[in-house]
Amino acid sequence: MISQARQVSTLIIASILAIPLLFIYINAEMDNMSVSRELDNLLLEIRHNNTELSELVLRSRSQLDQQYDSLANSQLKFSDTMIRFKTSLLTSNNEMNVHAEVVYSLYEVRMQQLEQFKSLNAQIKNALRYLPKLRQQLRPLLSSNNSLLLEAVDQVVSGALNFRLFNDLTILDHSNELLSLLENPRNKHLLNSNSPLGAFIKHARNFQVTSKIEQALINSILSNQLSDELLLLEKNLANKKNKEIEDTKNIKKILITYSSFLLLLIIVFTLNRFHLINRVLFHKSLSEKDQLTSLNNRRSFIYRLKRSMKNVKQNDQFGALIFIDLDGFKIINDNLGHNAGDIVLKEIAKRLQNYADSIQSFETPICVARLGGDEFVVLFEQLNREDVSRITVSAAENIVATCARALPTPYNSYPLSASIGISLFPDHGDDVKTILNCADKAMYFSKSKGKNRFTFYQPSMHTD
Amino acid sequence: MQASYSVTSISILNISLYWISGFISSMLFSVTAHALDAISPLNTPVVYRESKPWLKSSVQSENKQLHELKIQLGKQLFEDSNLSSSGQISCATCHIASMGFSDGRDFSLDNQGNPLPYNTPSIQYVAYNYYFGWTGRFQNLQDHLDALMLNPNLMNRDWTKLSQDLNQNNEYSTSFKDAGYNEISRVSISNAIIQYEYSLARPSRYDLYLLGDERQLTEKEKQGYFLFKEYGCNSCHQGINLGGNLRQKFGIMASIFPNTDKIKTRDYGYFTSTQQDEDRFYFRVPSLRNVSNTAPYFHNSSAKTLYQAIEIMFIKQLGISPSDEDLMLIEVFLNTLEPIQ
Repeated sequence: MISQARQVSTLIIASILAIPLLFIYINAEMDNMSVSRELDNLLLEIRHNNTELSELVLRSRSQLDQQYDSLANSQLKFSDTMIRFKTSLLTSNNEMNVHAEVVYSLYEVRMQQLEQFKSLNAQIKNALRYLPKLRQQLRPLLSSNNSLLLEAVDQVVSGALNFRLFNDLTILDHSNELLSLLENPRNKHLLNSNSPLGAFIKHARNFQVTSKIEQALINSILSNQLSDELLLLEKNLANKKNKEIEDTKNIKKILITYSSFLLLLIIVFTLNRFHLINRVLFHKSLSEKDQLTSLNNRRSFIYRLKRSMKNVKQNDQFGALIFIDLDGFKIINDNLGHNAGDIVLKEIAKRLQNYADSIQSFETPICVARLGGDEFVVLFEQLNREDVSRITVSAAENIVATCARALPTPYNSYPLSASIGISLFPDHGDDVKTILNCADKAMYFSKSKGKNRFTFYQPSMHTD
Repeated sequence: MQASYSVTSISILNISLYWISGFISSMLFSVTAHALDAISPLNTPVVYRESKPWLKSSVQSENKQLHELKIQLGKQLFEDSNLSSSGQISCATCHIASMGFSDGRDFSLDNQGNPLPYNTPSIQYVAYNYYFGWTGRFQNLQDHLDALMLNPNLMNRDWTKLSQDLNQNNEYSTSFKDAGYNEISRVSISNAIIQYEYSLARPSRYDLYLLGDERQLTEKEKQGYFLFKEYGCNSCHQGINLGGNLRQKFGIMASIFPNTDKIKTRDYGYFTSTQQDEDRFYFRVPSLRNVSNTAPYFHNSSAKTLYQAIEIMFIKQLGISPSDEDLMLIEVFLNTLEPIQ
């Protein structure tokens, strides 16, 4: 029972030790997940915003949206998300710092491009609105004296509109030639800074410059390096996350293997321990028990006697040794053989043991032993002074009666009885040898008196 | 049968009128009763042409009463000169309500009595701006407020110290609690002030005209509006706030600062913040709302009257020599951008 409880407690301690490990493991996984979810959401938002910005730029470029409110609004959202993203990435993992820096600088470039786009786009819209107006003013001035110039002006205006539609740079080149034609010194009289033609040329040239810049700008806005970089970052983050998941899975695997190995070890250890205890108990019984009768053997009896003598001395108590020798056993042995003798010995041993069991519960530790041959002893290990005579006498009487009872059928024709000698310790001696000797003397006294009786040792017996 | 039909149709009409008027009044939150009458849906079948609601909703999932209390608290803070360390100036010192939330000076004076580098812009329609300050260097009002509070020449006030001082004032601590703020801190003080600033926007006659009430503008004003679009003013001054959502070079067609010796740091515009060449002379396109009340004009107060300002814009930005009549008509149109009182 005790050993089992110990095993259970070992198991409990092992599991308690495992709990913090499990807690740390689960916690780490959860932490990872929440951080990466936040980052994923931010990345998603940024990528969405980024494409939205491109779309809004195209809308403004194609005049679908005349105002920049939605573009500015989107920019505002974009920078908000970007700042949150940067802080979140910086606080969460260090190896992505380089990426974060690249993304952030690309974001800054993009914002700058968007600002530039808005101002250029406003200028271009202005020019597109104003160039036709100037043509209207020029028409009456030029139609009278120079229809060729008017033709050139018309072509520049329609070239501007065409360029907005087709984005073909050759149109601008053509317009440029026409503008050089208009600037011809021959037209000097028409060309002072305040004249309509001068204003027209100035506005047209301005349109060409800004258009070219805008076209390049839109190309770079749409090529969207930031988007590529974000994609790369997302890939890296996903890889990292997968690796982390893999790692945690691996750790899980190792933990489970380790703990199952541990459990197996504990089980094997427990079984082995159980087995060993059984073996030890078996060997102990072998060394302590008499092989034939299963009573204690001489050795264990001596051990218990020694122990008892020691205890008795300490507690100021008494012990009694009842020495039993069977009368008439030799005849059975000689007439019926050793087997029959063994059976009779067993029977007697059983009777003695039964008797001992019947009084053991309420009296004192009793040891019944076979010393060898037909010699048995009953040892009362601890008795109080006042009980000594009463209990020993009643025990001796009972034993004599028990042994005198008829044997089972095949042997009942042989009379068997017991001669008993009783010695008390520490009264009759304080070592094993003396006590045994005293009991032996008393037993012989019983035999000499006519068997089937008991005798207490008297010091006078020793003199013989 | 006929009678009952007409009765139900009238009641339906009444209910729908009630809903429509409720909707409009919630959109134009403090339009006077007179203005509401003017745009009553009975007179104008088209309620509004723009699909977007006129007001940006700064109120989200918050009850109206609490929001009103926040605005009141913001107003109190806005006008409290104890917000500055000297106890001499408040936000309202430079942003005077009666002067279009500007102060009419060329340059406002700092706490030492020296003029500030930039002209004080109007903040009445700040709710619809995407950048703040003349160069648009502030992305949001919080940054702007932080800069002003910490500027040693202006409010010169530490947020934590200010929070502690306001905490000791019983009146403030109760009104902060009433307005739904758990504590007095940088965040709550700024929030109250910003909510107040957002609440300043008012619709103008121009908005009512766009909403469908043709009678709001006179013939001249309509002509001015036509010219405003025709000459391309609305290339930059566009959007709900007629500006405020992009930066543009000051002096596209002709340099605004022909004499390089006289160029001051402020004239470089956004360049002063970024130090990048492409930002040189770039300024935030200011909103034209309430423009007639906020003279003088430009970052350096170089135009004293609206007429002058329009002329400079024509010559330097559009590269057009305008006629006096054009200028006059556009000025007349710009006057319609005043908020309805």
